[in-house]
Amino acid sequence: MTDAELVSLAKAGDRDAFGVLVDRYKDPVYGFILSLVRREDIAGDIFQEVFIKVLRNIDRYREEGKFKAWLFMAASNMAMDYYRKEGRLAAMEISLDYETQDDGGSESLHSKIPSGEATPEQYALSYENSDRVKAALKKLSPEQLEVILLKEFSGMTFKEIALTLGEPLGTVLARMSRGLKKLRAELEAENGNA
Amino acid sequence: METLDHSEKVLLYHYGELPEPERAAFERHLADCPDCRATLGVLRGVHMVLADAAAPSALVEGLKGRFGTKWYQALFHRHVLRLAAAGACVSAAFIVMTSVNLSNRADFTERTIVSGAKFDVKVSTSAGKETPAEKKPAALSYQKDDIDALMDEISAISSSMESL
Repeated sequence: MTDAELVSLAKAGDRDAFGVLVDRYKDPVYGFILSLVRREDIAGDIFQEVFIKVLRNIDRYREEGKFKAWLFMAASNMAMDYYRKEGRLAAMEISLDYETQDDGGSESLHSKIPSGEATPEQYALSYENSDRVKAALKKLSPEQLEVILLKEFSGMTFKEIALTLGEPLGTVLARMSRGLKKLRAELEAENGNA
Repeated sequence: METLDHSEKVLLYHYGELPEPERAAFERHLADCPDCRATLGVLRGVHMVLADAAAPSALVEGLKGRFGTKWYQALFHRHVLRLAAAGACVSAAFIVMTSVNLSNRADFTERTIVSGAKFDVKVSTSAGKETPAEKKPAALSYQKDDIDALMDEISAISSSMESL
């Protein structure tokens, strides 16, 4: 059953239909929110509020828009609000924790970053330390992080994301490209500092 | 698509959104470009790091429990609001139509209090008194004020219902 069909049933009062939509999108929506706010308790609250808000406004959903885009836009608005208010502080805390771990002399990621002859797979494997990548992600601007996370979790095409955000496609691509450039620079800078 | 630079093409390539003619060309470029390979590596690394997120089942069940009750509250709320709005509109239409009917009567004497002031409108079609041309502006002006006040009241009711 398509999202639009399920939404039609939900509008008519079918709770099970909305439950199917929840089951369909719970993991990517939760992953998206958690990656932005970095706290499970906050992510859980926002996750519930997103679906409750969507349910309350289900009558406003129109067939021409994709439900997934609508849902992720709601999640993005709520999570980004929190991120802008609280995320900066959380990012600083993570950053400090991170430096402390380095001082402890644990095996560094930096020595694993391959040289220029490496394949993309070898580069990717060098980022298997997820804490470092997540910490580097937090150093991006909210807008850069939003695009990267929307792309990763929503499964929407860049064109769909551009429509959802109300931005030109080129702007979305440029924003993500700059974000990745910064991310890579952060990871390589740590390599240089090791 | 032709205006994109390699840092943007690598994104489309990674997510399978680069059309085939350009995809093959980009793969040839990739073989000679360590910069693009490194960016592709970062993309794949980010994907690996973010891939394991899953909503806790207790959270999802809690959500379903919440909208189990909220659902009917929301539906009930919407239906009550719609009924109230429809009732207000019907009442408003009835009042307006009644007022218009009164103003269109050939002979009438109306004594009305609006905002504490008294207005006497005395109209007669008898010869030698007021002509229809003289009476209509006064009657229409009075009706307009009345309708404006009514519309203000309807707006206030709508706002208060929205805030619910």
